Amino acid sequence: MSINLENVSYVYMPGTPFERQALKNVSLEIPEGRITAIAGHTGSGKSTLIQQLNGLLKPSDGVVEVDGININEDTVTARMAKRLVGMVFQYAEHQLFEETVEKDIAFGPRNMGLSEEEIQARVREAMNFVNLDYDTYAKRSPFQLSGGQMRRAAIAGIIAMKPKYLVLDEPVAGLDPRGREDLLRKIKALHDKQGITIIFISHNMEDIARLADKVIIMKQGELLLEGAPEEVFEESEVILSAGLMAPKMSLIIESLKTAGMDIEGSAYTIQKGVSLIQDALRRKEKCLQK
Amino acid sequence: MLTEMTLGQFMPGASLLHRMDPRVKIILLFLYVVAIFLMDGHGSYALMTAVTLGLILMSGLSVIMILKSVRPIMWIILFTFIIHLFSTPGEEIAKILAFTMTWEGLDRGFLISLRLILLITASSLLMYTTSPLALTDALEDILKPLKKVGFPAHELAMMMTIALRFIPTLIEETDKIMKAQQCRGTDFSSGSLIRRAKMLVPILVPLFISAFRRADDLAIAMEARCYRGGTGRTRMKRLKVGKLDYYCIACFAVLLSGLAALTYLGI
Repeated sequence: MSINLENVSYVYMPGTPFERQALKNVSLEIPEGRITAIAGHTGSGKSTLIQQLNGLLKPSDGVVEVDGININEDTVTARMAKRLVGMVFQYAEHQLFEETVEKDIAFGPRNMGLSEEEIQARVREAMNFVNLDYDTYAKRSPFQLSGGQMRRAAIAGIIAMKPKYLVLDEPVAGLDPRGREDLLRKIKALHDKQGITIIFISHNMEDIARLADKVIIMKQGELLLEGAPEEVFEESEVILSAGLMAPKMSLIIESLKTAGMDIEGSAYTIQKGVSLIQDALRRKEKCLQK
Repeated sequence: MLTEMTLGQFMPGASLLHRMDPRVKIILLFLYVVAIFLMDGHGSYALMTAVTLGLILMSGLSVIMILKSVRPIMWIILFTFIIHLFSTPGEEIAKILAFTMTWEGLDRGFLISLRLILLITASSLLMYTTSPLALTDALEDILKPLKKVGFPAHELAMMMTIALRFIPTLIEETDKIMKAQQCRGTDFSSGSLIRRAKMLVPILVPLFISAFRRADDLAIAMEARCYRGGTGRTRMKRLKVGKLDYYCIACFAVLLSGLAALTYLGI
């Protein structure tokens, strides 16, 4: 099962002087059970792309399928399929509105028509998951929380709906380093422990390198690169043309290679890079000893 | 969605009407409207209709789009037409119950409807070809003489500018919040009226919070740049009445005298 886009195009404000094509013939697959990262320069169509995934925007042309069901048909099954996809917008804390954190997180599950006990259980579970202590924070106003806590409360509101696919638009934007680290770890855990398929947008290639199983790079509304991170990050020139930078580690490895260092393979995470360099140095030492 | 809405009705372009000084445009429009109200006789109507059509063609905008601006007052126009059709005394066309349709009524009704349509199209032409910012700037300039009697022209214009500036931002924000709440299962399109009204809370609360935050930020940013109201402020883009505007004023004067002549001759 997966989310499939087939030749999806999207035009904003068609038929006016403000007409703008945000997506051009995008076809891609987002496999279940993976972490997929979407990267691209501002205005490359990332946000438009993810809004196609649960029918917030209907494609001007093309088909979007979730688990094999075309979500833009007007049927009950299509509506159910849309619900499989949870969406966390950029600056998710701006959507908080209830009097207490607990009520806000319960908003989604309540709209799903769950029983009161089930809602309670889900709220507790979700808060627990994002590291908001239930006894301390449940009865507080969401507006008394810190920025990072607000973000986590907002994400908990989506997690409590137990989506099969979770889409996050720049989840760590505007957080301090510790907040970023915490949240990224939480997202990884969501995938590892709860088996939720993650799709996230990020500008930070280091974050992408660390988390993603699959990378999608967008440029001016078109799909530029798609594939496993090691394949995609090989193409550092192409990535640069999209206004992005490949992860620093893969750039370092590449320039070491061109400088004549004997490195085998490629690396985009710091750990892998360090071990590659160590291997190369060891080989060099052995050569010298001989 | 919501973001697919145009602010006001401004459609960017480079036509003569777009390039005119907004102050001149506003004043000419004002006179134009007065002329439409004062004119009488078929000749004047024909002339004004031709001129208005000419202006629409000159603006480079689609005629259909401009005629669409008449739609909101369609019913009013129809209503006046029918009232005139039945209430003007004269030669009878047909009789429906106690009401008599007359040829004179048909004529009057037609002219009055045309007058309304001309009024709306002429003013929407101004809105279509002038950016909201240019409009407020022009208003400030036109109202400047009233400052002497304590009328806060600059403050009013600044408030309008800010309000206009934030309409698209707030629309975008509303759109985003609506989508976010939609993702949490809010359904805006079904259910009873009370249920739907309740569904506004998750939108309005975040919207108000962000609007206040923006207002606060803006106030601080303005103060940090030493904004102290209108006195002594200069402008980056100064409005200037150019050659083009004088031509237009001249053409307009010719048009008015033509109208006056037609009215005098009773055509």
